[in-house]
Amino acid sequence: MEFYRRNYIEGLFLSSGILVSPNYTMDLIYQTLYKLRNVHHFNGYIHVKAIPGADPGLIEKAGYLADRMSINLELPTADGLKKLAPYKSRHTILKPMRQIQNGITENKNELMVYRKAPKFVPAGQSTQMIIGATPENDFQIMSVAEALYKNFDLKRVFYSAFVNVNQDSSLPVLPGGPPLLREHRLYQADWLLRFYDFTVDELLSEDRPDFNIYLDPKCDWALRHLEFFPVEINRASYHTLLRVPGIGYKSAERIVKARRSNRLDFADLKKIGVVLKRALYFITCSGKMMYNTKIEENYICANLMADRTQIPKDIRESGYRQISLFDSGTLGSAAITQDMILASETAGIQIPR
Amino acid sequence: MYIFVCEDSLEGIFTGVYDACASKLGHRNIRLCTGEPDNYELFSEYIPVTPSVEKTQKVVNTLVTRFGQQFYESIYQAAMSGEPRSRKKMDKADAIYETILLALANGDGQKVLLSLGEPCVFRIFELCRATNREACHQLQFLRFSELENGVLFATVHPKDYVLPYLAEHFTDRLPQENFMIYDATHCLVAVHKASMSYMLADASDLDLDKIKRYSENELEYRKLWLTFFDHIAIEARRNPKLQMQMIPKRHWADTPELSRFA
Repeated sequence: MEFYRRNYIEGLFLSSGILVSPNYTMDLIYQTLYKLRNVHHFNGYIHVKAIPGADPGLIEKAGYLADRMSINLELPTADGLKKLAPYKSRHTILKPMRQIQNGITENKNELMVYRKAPKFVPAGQSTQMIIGATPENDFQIMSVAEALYKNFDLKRVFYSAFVNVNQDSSLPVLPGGPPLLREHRLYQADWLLRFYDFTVDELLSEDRPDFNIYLDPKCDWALRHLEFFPVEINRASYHTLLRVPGIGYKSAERIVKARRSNRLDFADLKKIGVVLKRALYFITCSGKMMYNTKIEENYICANLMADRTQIPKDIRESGYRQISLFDSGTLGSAAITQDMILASETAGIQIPR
Repeated sequence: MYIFVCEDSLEGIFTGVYDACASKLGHRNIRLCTGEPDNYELFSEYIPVTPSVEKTQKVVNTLVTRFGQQFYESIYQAAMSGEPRSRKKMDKADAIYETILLALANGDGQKVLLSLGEPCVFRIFELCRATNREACHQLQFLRFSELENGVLFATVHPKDYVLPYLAEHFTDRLPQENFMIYDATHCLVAVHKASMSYMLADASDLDLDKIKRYSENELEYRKLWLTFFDHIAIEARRNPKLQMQMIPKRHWADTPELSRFA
């Protein structure tokens, strides 16, 4: 409370390991919540963990006091879960998740009728998956996430790179530290799912199950679908604009609104917030491209790769070494093709995964 | 060319807008300028503007009734920006004046604010965005400390004039507390008494020694917070660059957990 008074904290997160039994733990959590809200008048944000296997009644009561509830999925597949968290099962996790989802929809209907009805988990529910501890590939992880968004109306899925805390022998050892870049790519793809109307099948497939570490998922998609480009800024629909690398959902909105009154050119786009160094290969303004660029996969890929902000330094350099191996004969050729990147990946450069 | 020189405040700018419209010199021949110009132009007449509450109120009324509260708020936020004047960018008062003229000609304020292709509207958009960001940052990085007499006190150094926004937020959030927020850049203070609304006051005669006298628990809690802050971090995920992106360094002096490194 004293932290809250001083504006040190905005909200708090209540969680617990299972003590005695799921019901007992959930009850303790509920009592803590009750005290915070009603005795200490804590008006901040509270994120509470629902304990898998606890009584639905308790979860519901807690839901009326908390802002957000979550149940961790921990690992994307049932197999992985069995191996590393033998006490948790898919079923006990998904059941309360469904309950909270139903609670939220019911509550929305209730709120339409009675405006003063108490709010049930107003900030939605979320879950978390651990990345890199088990051998699942990105395609499996993203498919699970997509299913969760579709079927359980989750607000967010969090991906957390595996950090080895207790050095147990059954836990994997990751030489390159936690797979932070992989986590980053997963989050990027997650945003594409939630705000950009992408589906997992477009980004990944069974034959290409992992994200390209050198390019973000959106650039990667665009490079494989050059037939859609270039896009005319002054005419293209909002959804088409969303698919252009370098245009975010906010800039896309601004473009759609701003072009009603004026024709837009590249200077305007820059002001609006479009990242032209990525977008310029894929767009035209009034029929003209920014520079005289080719619409060709290898050419664009090489140029995008030259952007130093895209990938961390050590990986960029490791990639560069690998590529210079292939190129050793030709002097100064900077043609980095996607096939080469794939080849270098299969050749097994030290990429923390 | 006639140039109206306004004071850098809402009143100054709005009075400038009013005077410019009332002068009947023709909009094309008029420019507005915030603060004394660095360099005087040849063949231009400079007209000083004395801020007037009455004229400001008239402009505000026109904006609110003709174009709605939202339009007025955007203009207000733009006017509250403390961005230093630069020769490369359009002057604040001038951008406001031109945007208001556009809205008057067009009739639909909301629509005008969306046409970012217009330089003046884009400038308003830019200023608004900056002010909003600053307000958001200040909300998050403001830290209260408890004084001897139980009052919560916080010092902030905002770039823009966001004190009313902060006071509003904390009145809603800590209704049962006595608190003061001291804006050191603009030398203003917001005072809130438990279960009442807040007041803004001039802070030039604020006793700077008195606000250093903390209550006995204050340092204890500060220490607890620092310990918590240090231990919640996951070593494998330390990323100082990202942290600096999230909390720009200019905020560090006012937050106890980071002032140690500043």
